[in-house]
Amino acid sequence: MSTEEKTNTESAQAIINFLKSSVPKSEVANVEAELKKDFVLGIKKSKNLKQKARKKKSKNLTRREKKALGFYNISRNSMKYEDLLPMHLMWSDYMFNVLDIEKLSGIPECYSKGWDNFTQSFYRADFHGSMLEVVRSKCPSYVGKKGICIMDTRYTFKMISKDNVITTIPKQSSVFDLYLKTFKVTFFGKLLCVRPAERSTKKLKSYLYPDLN
Amino acid sequence: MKKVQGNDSFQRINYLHQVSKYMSMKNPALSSYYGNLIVSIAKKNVLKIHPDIKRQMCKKCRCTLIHNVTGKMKIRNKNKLKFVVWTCSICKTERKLPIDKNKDHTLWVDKPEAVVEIIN
Ligand SMILES: [Zn+2]
Repeated sequence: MSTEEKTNTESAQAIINFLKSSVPKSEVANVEAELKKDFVLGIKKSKNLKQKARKKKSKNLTRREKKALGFYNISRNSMKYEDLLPMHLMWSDYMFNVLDIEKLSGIPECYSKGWDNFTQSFYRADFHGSMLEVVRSKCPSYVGKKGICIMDTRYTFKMISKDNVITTIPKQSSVFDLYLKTFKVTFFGKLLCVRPAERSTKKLKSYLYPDLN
Repeated sequence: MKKVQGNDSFQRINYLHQVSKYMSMKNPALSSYYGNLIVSIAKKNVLKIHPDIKRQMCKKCRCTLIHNVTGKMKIRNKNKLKFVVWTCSICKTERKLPIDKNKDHTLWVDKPEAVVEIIN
C-alpha cells in the first residue's frame, strides 16, 4: 500500500510542477491555492447544457458563396501576359531547386541512375507558372498553343497566351512541351490526370510506355 | 546528406505562398485558389503550415492578406490587451491575433526546445 501512496503523491507533484511551468509567470503563485478549492456544484450537471449547444458556423466558404464572390469565372480577357512573367521567372527558379539540375549538371539520361529520382520529383512538382506548349492533341486547333499555366485542375490546364487570352486545354489527349530556362521537357498530359494536391502523395511508375491513342 | 521528410511538399508550399502573395495584387480569385492548394497539400501530406504563412492567409477564403490591398489591419484594445485585427476585404472575415508585450506567450516554433535537429 505504501508504495502505491508514494507514487500517487509523486504523480500529483508532477502535475503541479507541470502546471507551474506552463502557466503565465504572473499566475504561478496562485496555482496551489486554486488546487485546494472544492467545486461543490461541479458534480451536478446544469440543465440547460443542451440549449447552449448551438449550431456551429462553418469555417470555410461554401461553393455557392465562392461562386457569388466570382472565384470560378476567370474570364477570357481578365489578365495580362506581362503580369504573369515574374511568376514564370519565380517558377523556373523553384523548378531548378526542386529538380537539382545544377548538381546533376543537366537532365539525366533515360537509363541512368538519376532517372528514377528525377521523374519522381518532376511528377511531384508544381506546374503553376510553367511555360507550356501543346505539341500533339486529338483536337488539331489546340496544337501550337503556348502560354503560362495559371491553373492546374484534374483534367485540364488553364493557360494564358501572349495575346492575353485564357484558354483551357484538356490533359487527357494532349502532349505538352515544357520550357525550363534552356531545357525542353516533353510529357504526356495523360499521366498527370490527378488532382494537383494529391499528386504529391502518389507514386509514379518509373517507366511508362507511351501509347499513342 | 540527410533528407528532410516532406521536403518537396514544403518547397511547393513555399513557392505557392509566394505566388499567392504576388497574385493577390492582380487577381484575388487566383490568390485564394493557390491558398486553397496550400492547405490541401498540407492536409494530404500531414504537414504543418508555418504560423507565419498561416497568419498571412484569410481564414475563410484563403486569400493572402496585404494591408490596404486585400485586407485592413488594425490594432484594437480589449480587456486591456492588444490585438491585431485583420479584416479581409473579399469575404469580410475578421481575425484577431494577440500581440501584447506583457503577456509572456510565445509561439511553439519560436521556443528553443522546438528545434530538434538542423539539417542542411
Ligand atoms: Zn477572406
